[in-house]
Amino acid sequence: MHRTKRIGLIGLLFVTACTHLTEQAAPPAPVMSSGAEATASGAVAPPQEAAKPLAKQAVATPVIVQPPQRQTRKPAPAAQATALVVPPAKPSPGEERTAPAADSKRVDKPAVALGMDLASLEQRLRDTHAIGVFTKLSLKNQVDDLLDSFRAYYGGRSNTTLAALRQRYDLLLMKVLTVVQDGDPPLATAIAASRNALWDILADREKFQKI
Amino acid sequence: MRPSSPVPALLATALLVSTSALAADDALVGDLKATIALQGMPCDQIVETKRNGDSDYTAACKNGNRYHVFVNAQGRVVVQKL
Repeated sequence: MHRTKRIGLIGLLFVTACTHLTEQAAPPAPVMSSGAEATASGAVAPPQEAAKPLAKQAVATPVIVQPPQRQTRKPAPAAQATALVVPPAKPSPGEERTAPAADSKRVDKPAVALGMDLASLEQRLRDTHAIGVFTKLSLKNQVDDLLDSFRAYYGGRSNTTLAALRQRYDLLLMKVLTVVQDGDPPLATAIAASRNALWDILADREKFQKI
Repeated sequence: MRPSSPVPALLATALLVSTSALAADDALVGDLKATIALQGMPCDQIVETKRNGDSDYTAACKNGNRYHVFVNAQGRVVVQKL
């Protein structure tokens, strides 16, 4: 009889514990969602603090109070970041001219960093062991053909359009990537990253003539 | 002390040479296949290659196509279907 009582008590305790757990399961969801930003700051305390309270009201107080404290801390760097990108609310005409220029410089820098100039690309293609001599020569022939087409286009000796040249450029770049990607993945990644930078050179008459 | 036989060393050398030759063949086959594909010609798998001269090869593909791959006087890679 004592055993059955003990088992019954244990079962009752287990059931009550489970009901408390299910009651707590709902509140932590907003804690996690609202505290998701707080976890980025390395705060591990909120889940432990949220697990301690048993009643709904007791849980509700730390949920409401604590996240706003961390949110008030968080927006500071976010506000600084936006302040760097977004120009002042009422800039003077002179400032309006300088702010977009600064933004465009910020956008161009990564492209320049990622991109390679034609000379380094050519050298890396020469040096790679991923493709054989015939393949390299074939690619060189096709690159030369494309450059001839650009010269004819800029010289007014061709009826082709820049869109058609862009298609040929994309196709050739895809060929290069196809033959290189298995044997020299870093080179393939570099070529893929510099796709737009290379096109910017080809599509600009002045830049192209400097090649 | 019995003098060591040169046979194992010769066998090892022959194995190394044959392995490097196979690797070179693989590289050549891959190069020719890529070249044929870059010219827009169909070739699923190269089953036979024949060297005709410097930068001049004949390749036979599994699908029955045969190609003459060479570099012409202008320095261009040419793939001719035979």
